[in-house]
Parts: sequence; C-alpha cells; structure tokens
Amino acid sequence: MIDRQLHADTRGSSTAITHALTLGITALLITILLFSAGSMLDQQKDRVIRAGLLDVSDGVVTELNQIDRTVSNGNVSSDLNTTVSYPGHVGGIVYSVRLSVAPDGTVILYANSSNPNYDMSVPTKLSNQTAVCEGYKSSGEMRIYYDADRDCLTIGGVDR
Amino acid sequence: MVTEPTDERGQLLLIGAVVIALVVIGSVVLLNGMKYTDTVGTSGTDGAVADSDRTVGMVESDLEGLVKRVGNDTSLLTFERELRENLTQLRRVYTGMTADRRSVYLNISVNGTASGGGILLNQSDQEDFVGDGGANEWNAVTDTTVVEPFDMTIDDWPSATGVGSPSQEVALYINATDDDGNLWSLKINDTREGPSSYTRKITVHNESGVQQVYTNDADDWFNDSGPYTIDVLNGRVTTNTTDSGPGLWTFANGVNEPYDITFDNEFPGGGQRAKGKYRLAADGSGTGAPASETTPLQVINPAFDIYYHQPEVQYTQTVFLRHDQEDDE
Repeated sequence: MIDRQLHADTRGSSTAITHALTLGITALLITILLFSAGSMLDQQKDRVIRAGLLDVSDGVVTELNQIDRTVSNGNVSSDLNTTVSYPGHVGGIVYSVRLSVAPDGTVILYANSSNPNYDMSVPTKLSNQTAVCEGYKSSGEMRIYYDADRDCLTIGGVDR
Repeated sequence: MVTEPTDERGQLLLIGAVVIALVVIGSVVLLNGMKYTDTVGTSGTDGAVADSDRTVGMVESDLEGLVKRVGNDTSLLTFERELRENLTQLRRVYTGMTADRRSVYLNISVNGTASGGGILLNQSDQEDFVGDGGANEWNAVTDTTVVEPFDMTIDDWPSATGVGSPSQEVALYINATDDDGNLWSLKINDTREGPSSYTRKITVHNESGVQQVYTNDADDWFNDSGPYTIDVLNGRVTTNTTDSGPGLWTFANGVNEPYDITFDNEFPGGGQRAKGKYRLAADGSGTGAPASETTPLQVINPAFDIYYHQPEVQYTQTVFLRHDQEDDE
C-alpha cells in the first residue's frame, strides 16, 4: 500500500525539469563523446602521417642503397636512373623528401610533412659508399639516380 | 487489475540513440584509418636495380667467354673485326630475351675509346730491320702484354765481313725486357770463321744464360737457301721447303709482363745487316718504328658498354676485359 502511495506521489517534481535534465545530460555526454572522438581522429591522423612518411623514406633509402651497391660494384659509366611512384599524399597531406649531407659527412634522408598543422619530419640515416649530393623532391613520382657527371647519388624530379 | 502508467519509456530510446551515435562515430574513425592507409602503400621499383645487376653480370660473363674464344681463334690483326661480328650475334640473343621477368632492352656495344688498343708494325718490303731514321737500335713496342703475331722473313741473312774477329760480327738481336731488368733475346747472325765457312746461327738466351743454339751445321731444317720465315712467338723457322716445327724456343721466357720489344742491329759498318720483312702486333705503344710502318689497332683489350633499359631503371655499365685472360677451362 505504501508503494502504491509513493508511485502516485508527484510532489516536488516537475515534468519540464525532468526533461530538461535528461536532455542536458545527454547533450553533455554526446559533446564529450564528439570531442574525444575528434581528438582521437587527430592522433590517428598524426600516426598515419608519420607511418606514411617513414614508409616513403624507407622506400627511397632502399632504392638509394641498391643504386649505391650497383655503382660501387661495377663500372657504371652513365647516369643510373630509377623512376619510382610514391603516393601524392600520406594521411591526406602533401609531403617532401630531402636528401641532406651534414658537415661531418653523415647522410640523412628527411621525409617532411608540407602541412603546417602537422609539422613533422622523419629522418633516416643512410650508409653509403658512393658520395651523395643533396637533393629535394615533393611528393609523387621521383627520380632516384646516380649522377655520373658529379659522381654522386641524388634525388630529383622526373623529366618527361 | 489496472496498471498505472509509468514514465520509463524514454530511457530505451535514449540508450538506443547513444549506441547509434557510437556506431556512427566509430565507423567514421575506422573508415578514416582505412582511407589513409590506402594512400600510403608505396610502389617502389621492386628490386629492379638488383635484378639489373644480375642481368648485367650475366652479360659480363658471356662477354668474358666471347673475348676469350675470339682471342684464342684470331690474331690481334683480325681480333676487332671478329669481336664485333660475334658481338652482333650475342646482341641478337639478348634482344630476343626477357630478362628477370621484366621487359628489358639491352644493348651491348664495343666502346672503342675506352678499349685498350695497340699497334701493328708491318715492314712489307725487303729492307734493313732499322728503326725510324735508320736507327740500328730501336724500340719497337713499349709495355706490351700480348703479342700476336710476330713474324719475320729474313731474305738476306746478316753477314760479317771480317774473318773471326768478334768486333766485326754483324748480328740482329730481338730483345724483350721488363721493368725489373730481365732480358730475353733472340740473336740472328753468321759465325763466319773464314770466307768459305758461312754459317747461319740463331741463339736464344735470357738471364739464365744461353738457352738454345741452332746452326746450319747442326740442324737439317737450317740448310736451305732461304728466305727464312721466323715465327718469333711460337719458336718456328720455315722456308719454302723446310719446317723446323714449333717450340724451338719460348718467346719472352723469364720476362714479366709488361715488357718492351727492341730491335738491335749490331753493325760495325762493314758486312751486311739482315734484310727482310716483319709483322708485329702488340697491345703496347710504339715509339721507335718508322711511322709509315706503324698502324694503330683500336681494340685489343676491349671495353664494352652494356646499356640496360626498362621502365624503372636505365643505365650504362662499361666492362673492361683483358685479351689474355687466364684460361680456366
């Protein structure tokens, strides 16, 4: 009997406030969910870009190493050209690859993001026998080659 | 019994909405990841450079065999022509071949400027064996490793005027000397003791002393009136009617490559120097022979350009081979 009495008891409660509370709390929860999903997406993209840059620089370094081996083994008397297609975007952004020689002779290949919102650079060290000349290429098709005139390995654009 | 209406219905809808929201957001995250991963896959040259190494290596070893075979079958006089002809055949084989699962264009050519050349000395008229300007002692070839052929025809054997005196001896020496001072020498002279005893003599000596002596008294094949053709390289003396057979001596025995070949006429002024013709092809450089008798040979130690072309990789590799490779068969 007491139970019945409490169920029927609506004193001190308002239907409007109950609805407002329900909506408010739900809106808050969904907002938090959206925000955290957004930042998670951002992190995900960051990670994907980094992995993509690493992938590209790995590819370039592998090509350079192969050319290096061929050049140092044999008597390559002309330019040794390889043309490789890399993706135009990684993680939705444009990137560039820079082959750089430090003053102490260390050769490092940097894959850099070209988007100011994702400022990152992935360096890969190259162990080479043939000399290296500095080179730069933005994303896309890339010419990785041995320049016989300068007697060095380098990267650049494709002339067609 | 009548049930009272409750206000708990909306909760199910709320939970349903939240679940749907989670599913939508989750799939957006997932699809994003998939999209980005898709764009990352690189299409490298898939080891094309390493493959090209292998193909070029294969061509190189074929060329080594080719040079060896052509070198064995020809003299330096015809080497270049034969080599180019054989190369044309080889090129045809490679053009029709697909190398390393890829469509590859290969071109193999003789690189004349990078090849090691030599000279051909050819005195085709019957003359003294003298150098440029009539020099009695002259350098025929410098720094040579391959000589082929080296033939001399002695129309007039040298003859001394005097009787018995060594100072009046007339002789022709063909010397091979290396950088360490080792000497191999072939001496052609007559040992006239008196007017009636004219004697033809060939003496071979090196650092160890006299190796072989042939005279017309001792050797039957040496009793012809001549002219004598001497194959200096193979140690063989022939005339129209006689033949000593090869192997009388070993050319440049005890002398290390590279060596110089010099002619030396020991000519005191009287008597007569040897007269005849000779032909000598070698991979060294000539310095002392008359220019009219000297012809350059462009290709003796050949260099080949191997041009490798496929869509991802292009280059030219130059291979240098020696004419006198060790025969390892």
